[in-house]
Amino acid sequence: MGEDGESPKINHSFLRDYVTEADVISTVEFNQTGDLLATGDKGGRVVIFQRETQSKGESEELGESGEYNVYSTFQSHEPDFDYLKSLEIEEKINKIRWLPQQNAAHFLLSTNDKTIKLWKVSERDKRPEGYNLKDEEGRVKDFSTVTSLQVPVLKPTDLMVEVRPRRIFANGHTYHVNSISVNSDGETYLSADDLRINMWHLDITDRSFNIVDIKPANMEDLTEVITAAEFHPKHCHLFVYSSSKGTLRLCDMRASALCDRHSKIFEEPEDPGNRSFFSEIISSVSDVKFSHSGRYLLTRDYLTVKVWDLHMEKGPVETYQVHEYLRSKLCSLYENDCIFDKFECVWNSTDSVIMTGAYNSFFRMFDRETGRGVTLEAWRESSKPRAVLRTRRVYTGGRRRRGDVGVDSLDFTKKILHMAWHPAENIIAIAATNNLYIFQDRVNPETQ
Amino acid sequence: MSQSHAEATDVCTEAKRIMVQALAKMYTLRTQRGGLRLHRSLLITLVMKSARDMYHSCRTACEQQQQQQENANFTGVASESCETDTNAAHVAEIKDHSLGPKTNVSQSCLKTSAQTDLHYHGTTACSEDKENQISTKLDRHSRKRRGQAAVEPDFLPCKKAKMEAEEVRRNPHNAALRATCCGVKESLTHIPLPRSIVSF
Repeated sequence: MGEDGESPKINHSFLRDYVTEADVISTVEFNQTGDLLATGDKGGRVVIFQRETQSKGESEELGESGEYNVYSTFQSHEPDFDYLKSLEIEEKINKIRWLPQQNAAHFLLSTNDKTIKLWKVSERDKRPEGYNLKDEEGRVKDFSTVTSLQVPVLKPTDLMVEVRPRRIFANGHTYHVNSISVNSDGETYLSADDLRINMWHLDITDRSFNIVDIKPANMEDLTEVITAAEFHPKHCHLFVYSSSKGTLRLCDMRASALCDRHSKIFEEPEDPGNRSFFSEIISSVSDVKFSHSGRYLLTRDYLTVKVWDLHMEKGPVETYQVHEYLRSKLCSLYENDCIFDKFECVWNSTDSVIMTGAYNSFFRMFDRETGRGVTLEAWRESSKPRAVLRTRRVYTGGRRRRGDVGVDSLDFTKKILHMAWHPAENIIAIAATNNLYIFQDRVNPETQ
Repeated sequence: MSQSHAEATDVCTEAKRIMVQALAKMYTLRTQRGGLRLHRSLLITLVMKSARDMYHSCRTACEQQQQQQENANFTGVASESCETDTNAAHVAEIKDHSLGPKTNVSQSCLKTSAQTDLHYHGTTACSEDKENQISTKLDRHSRKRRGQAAVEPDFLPCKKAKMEAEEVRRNPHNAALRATCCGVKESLTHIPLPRSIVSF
């Protein structure tokens, strides 16, 4: 958006920046079938994309997948104000989570810093026609003209997508909500802020259960905050939460009502050789995701992604360096606040590949079987529709190849923080500031 | 010997710079939309603590080296000169980061409006800034009540006389940064960096 056209002498940059700030995508999420893709932005809007359904025939044989088009757009959250604390509440959508589909309608949860909302997305493609008392435009008929009665019939009409708020879960959090996660029981979900995790019932808005509370009696003793939380994909009694200290805690809700005492704690001892001023910042976990199997956990801290086995607490089973070349630049990254960036991480459908974002519009994919990583770029200047993504490289020494990017040339304003992977296919959605990129694997499955 | 002294001074400077930047970031956080970000405040506080610890150990090393080099001089004089130089630089840096004629960074940290939840009672200002020292005293007194819901807002004027500023300075609970600003050498040795960053 910012790159379009030549700006005249008048300096529009302030206005342009203001406009695009609200368009910055802040969350991306596929639904359980992958047919719908929802994005939330800083302006509090949600845009839902729907995959085109392909008719059977040639296009399927060629291995073409349906494209995603805008299905619906709505304003989820508005800027709000806490009068008691004189605090503005941002409308930015922090997370979107889809509910499993139970009928023709789709439901999603969206949250900003304080309030979670349940939205119903439904289609209407028929409308009743042939009313006796109203004409086509809805005006009341003159009764004397009505000579016979007819039964109104449903006639097809242009597709209309209606989005309505069905529940508003407010006043549950004092601190900023960073995660929501729908339980596999289909009835409850959790919401986590910096110090507490609450469990809600999807039908009940005036009550929630506090299941984790790490707020110390004296705030001066605060040493860590909750950074992310997620329910286990299969076991409705298990959930995990990550902390700013780099630890993961697995909690079992059967053990007690308040899960302050974890069932398992996953942490890796710090490497004393890497100690610096910024060790605490870079060890803070920004995202945690269960694998689809439920056996593994994926975490992201500033420089690495790690895979943890639920059966082994003493350390990760796999560690992948996302951008180790930044370790010597931590001071500058601290100065420009980039060190506080929170990157997300995702699994592919078979848990064999993991993906996370980086700077310069780069994102990284790691094949768990080979241990190898690849760097790709989400930048429209260098990728045309239907072109194959080429791998990129950051030059860190040795032989420099054409196309390598030097560490000092990296654009730290172009960061890939949010992304999603289709639950069944190799389709990924990458949010690059205010642009959404959808990449699809075009390889014919038979030739793989 | 002199090379390690130079290295120690470099680390000193680096630590100071990080501390000053952390203060500026804390201040920016308070004015950001959406209210105070607890996670980021905590991380910045931890960085400040690391930098403070490093600065402290560097200063000790620096002083020891100074003593060894100038073994003929009085210890106090040597340390005093070392401190004066670094303090002058430190104060200058703080002034560079000031965000306006009315506020300098350390003062702004304590200047609470109704919006903020931050009680960074560690970073009180130089000795000239009596208002902030009094606020520190206020915080110290209100520490007992901190666990409860009601916390006395520190934008209310303190009723204590300004003469008590001297007592406050000698208080061991004052933070490293304020101490370095004032050049009080003893305070560096026993400062728990207060980690209170929110008051609600």
